[in-house]
Amino acid sequence: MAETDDSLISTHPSTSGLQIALHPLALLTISDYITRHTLRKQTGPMVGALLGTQEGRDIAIEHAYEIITLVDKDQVRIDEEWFENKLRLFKETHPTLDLLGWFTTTTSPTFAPALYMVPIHQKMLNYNESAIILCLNPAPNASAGGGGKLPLGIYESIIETEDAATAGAVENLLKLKFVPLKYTIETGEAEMIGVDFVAKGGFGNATAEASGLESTTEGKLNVGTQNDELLSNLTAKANAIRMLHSRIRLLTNYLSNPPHNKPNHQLLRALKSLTHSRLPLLTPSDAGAFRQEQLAEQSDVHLVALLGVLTRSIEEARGVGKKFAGIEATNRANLRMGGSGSAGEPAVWDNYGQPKDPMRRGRRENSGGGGGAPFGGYPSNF
Amino acid sequence: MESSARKQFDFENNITLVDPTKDGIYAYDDAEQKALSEKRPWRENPNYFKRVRISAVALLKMVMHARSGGSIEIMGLMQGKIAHETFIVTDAFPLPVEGTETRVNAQEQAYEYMGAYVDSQKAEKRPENIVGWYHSHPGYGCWLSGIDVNTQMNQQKFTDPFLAVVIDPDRTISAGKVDIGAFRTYPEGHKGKSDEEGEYQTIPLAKIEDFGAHTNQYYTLEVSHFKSSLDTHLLDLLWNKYWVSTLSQSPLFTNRDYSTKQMVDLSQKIHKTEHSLLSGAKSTRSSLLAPSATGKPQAEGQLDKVVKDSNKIASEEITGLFSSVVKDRVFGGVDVVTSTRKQS
Repeated sequence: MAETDDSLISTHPSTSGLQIALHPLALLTISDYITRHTLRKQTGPMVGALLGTQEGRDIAIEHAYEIITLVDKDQVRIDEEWFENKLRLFKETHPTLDLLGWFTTTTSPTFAPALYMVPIHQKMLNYNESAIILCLNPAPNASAGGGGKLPLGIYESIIETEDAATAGAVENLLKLKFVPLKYTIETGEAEMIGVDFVAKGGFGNATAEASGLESTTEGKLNVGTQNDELLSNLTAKANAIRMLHSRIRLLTNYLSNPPHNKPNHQLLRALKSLTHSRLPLLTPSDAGAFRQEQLAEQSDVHLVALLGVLTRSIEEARGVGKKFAGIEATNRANLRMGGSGSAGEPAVWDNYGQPKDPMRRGRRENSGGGGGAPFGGYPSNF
Repeated sequence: MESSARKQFDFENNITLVDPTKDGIYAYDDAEQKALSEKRPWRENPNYFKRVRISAVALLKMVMHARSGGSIEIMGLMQGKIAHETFIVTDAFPLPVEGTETRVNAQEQAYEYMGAYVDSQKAEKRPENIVGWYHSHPGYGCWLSGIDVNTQMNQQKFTDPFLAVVIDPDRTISAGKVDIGAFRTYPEGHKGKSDEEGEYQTIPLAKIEDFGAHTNQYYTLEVSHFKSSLDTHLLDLLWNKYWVSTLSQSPLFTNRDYSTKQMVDLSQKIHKTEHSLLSGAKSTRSSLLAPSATGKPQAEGQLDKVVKDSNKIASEEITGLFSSVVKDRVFGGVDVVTSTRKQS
């Protein structure tokens, strides 16, 4: 394998204080690109642009797209004309987003940029002078360091003038060094629902094209969409709480069983600050007002639910009334005809599912008044 | 060192997490696509296409684009391929136009953009054709309006196979799941079954006439999505990071506007239903609760819809309340724990 070149990584920690927020869309775009590229047996490097917003020190990587690369004389470079054109097209529909940097794939377990990436990075610096680079390792076991970290690293570049001694063949290139940046995952609300939908629901992988799709959805529809929504919502919540629980257990385990020789003071301090200064923040400063607000919200929801039930009751009551009116009408007609109209009668009764004779006779007698009688006969949803 | 740059890059391409059989949908066979589009089985059978499969990326792009538009209708195009009775959407991109009113006028500009965009895609070895368009209906559900039907009909006439997808970003947020529908129109003269109602959905009063008027001119396709093994891998890892936001969100709060709008709409509908029921009742001298058996069937249907609408609003609200209750239960008692620890 190529030189992962730790010499490219600056020994200085990041001084720029850049805060990176990575959005799932950008990540999935890269993943989609890799899958497509591999399956269609396309050759050439996988290189793409990262786009997003930058406000002060906060960078949000929201979008990504691939870039055409040209290979001449075994040197990889980007097709600048095409790239500028694409950037213009992109800006037209995403006016708020800017070019932030670029991404590529790596096989390095540390996700560090390698020397051969430097020329492209220098091109990128022409477009954004603080361009960042994201290196993703798509190998299945690449999530190095454990803890479920994403297999990628994000770096900013700095120019270091020292180290002149090592500058041999590629003097000026070596001055470019990379500093790893910390990143967090950020999702917009719609994005999160989308990701959740993609991650959980549907038919997992991309095999089937036409067969065997119907059966799965049929089963789902039977549950009823509203129950279904509630179910998926609660499952997501349960999963999240489970996750929280396992994280907390991890911490308590560590605390009750600290490694003998060297307790990690940094970690302990972080824990202390969490429990003593950050957790109390969860309690609202004005507990009474918060409680009241919460109760108000709750009763709002209950009111809406009650109104919903009421509306349904009205409809049901109306249904009952309608049936009653129907019965009454036939009964009155029967009375008028002196009971002789029994020939036409059964059809009406059968409609309401009460073909029994005794009932019918009994009711015909008090048909003039009593609204109570018909209710007894209905299985009713009351 | 530099001379090996290309080899290094090529080496990087040897990715094992891509499974050629499992991820087969990502492949693209030019000859196969040509053969299918020359056979044109959809010409004979207007119901030929039954399913839509949307890639994770395309779905996410469309949902986010729809949401970014707020209450403005946005619009974009989808790229992909066709398979047996199925549209496969691999990617989507927005168009620099918006809104129902401007849709017709803006086509010139949209076509220009589309051409440039597709050219740029083809250059990067993405030969997928445009297979359809998507637009958003913020807050009023997934169906085709009269204008939509005309647009789609035109497209199917000239650029078939073509697909219409509608996304409701507001309902996506309130229901916590992506609200999406895919449609194809019937050719002129062909009348579909208008009774094919499928899933009931709430339509605001202002749109209801448009909704009913065109339902027999198009049909719904079944929507599903797909993702690659690498996507799955990354999403699993991602879940490790973003479960926090599942707990921290408060849909009741973020959706207040939407639910208020829904309720205003519902009250208008109730008012209208009441009015038509009473006016129907007056003639036959019966009350609201005990109508004559010969009451207008149309009014009956209205009441039924009102009930469904109110149930839907109620269940959405309850779902929202659930998440705030869960949040309260999980984090509300925290201060007690810390204070006891301090004492001990």
